[in-house]
Amino acid sequence: MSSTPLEHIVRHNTWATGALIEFCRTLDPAKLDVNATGTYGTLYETLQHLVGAEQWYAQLLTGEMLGRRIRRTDAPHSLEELAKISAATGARVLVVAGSEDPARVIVTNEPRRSTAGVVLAQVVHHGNEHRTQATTILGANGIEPPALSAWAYGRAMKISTTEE
Amino acid sequence: MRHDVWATERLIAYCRGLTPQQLELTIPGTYGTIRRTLGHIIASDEGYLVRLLGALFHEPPFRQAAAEAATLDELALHLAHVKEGVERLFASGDLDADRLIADTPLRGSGEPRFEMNAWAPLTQFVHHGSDHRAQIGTVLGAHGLDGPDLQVWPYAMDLGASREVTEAER
Repeated sequence: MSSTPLEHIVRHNTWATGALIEFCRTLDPAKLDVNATGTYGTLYETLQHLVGAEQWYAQLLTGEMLGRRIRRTDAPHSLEELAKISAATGARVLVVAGSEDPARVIVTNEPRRSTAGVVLAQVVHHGNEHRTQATTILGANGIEPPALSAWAYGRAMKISTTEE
Repeated sequence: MRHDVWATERLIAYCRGLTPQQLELTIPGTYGTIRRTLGHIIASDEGYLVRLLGALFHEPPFRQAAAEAATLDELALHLAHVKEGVERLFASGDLDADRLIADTPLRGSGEPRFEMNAWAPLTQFVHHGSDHRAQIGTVLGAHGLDGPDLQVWPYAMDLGASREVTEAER
């Protein structure tokens, strides 16, 4: 797989969110309501926030809303829908990562301005942060979380054999 | 990668305001105590960069066991090595994701040798820092402490890459 480091970083982000949602689909649905103090919210709320934020970041970068808009106040979207939006968002962000001018100015929330490079960095940071909260919630509730590191991504893509 | 270093620096600065007892706080589901997690982040960062750059930062290397018992001053010193290593990596111009790294100078005798493409430690560097800083954020929140904002937005504000536009400029 020939890619730039940034493309791998974006691919890892998309893969990890997909793997986490896939893992959560195997859980008893009641487990989606578990929480751990100090995190964003329930496991489900964290997933919805994670995917909804990435949907917004992709809109900032491309002007396009991918899938049904996820709002903070929405009733729960299905995990299947979250997985589809996450995959679509990841694919678009990957294209942007390979072609975007990182210095291009973007209006985030008027009157706030940022750049495409900053939004891309936030995509990656935000995903890692909230996936960690999700795995903390799982661990705190006695559920062994899936491996979501870059090493695990490399093994899943069959491009690396390194272990954690 | 620069955001990663900035965020860890900011977290250490915040932790300097905590008591020694608070640095030993933890919760189930995370890596361990705040201090131990910080040490793990920084020793791992050094490890990824040593592999990418092909040279040790210093002798002896900053191993995990020592890092997880280190003081905040020691951690800040090693984070400065990480910061310098990131800049050296950028300055080298050698950011070919597919470059095969045959070994690491950190490998001890008798330890297995792992070959890997450069993208792997680069991607892991970014993932790993955010992963463990988020755990520290969770530990702080679970104990009623409001941690620092480590998102990319405040980093960009610090750099002037993100700003609020005045009415006259709109």
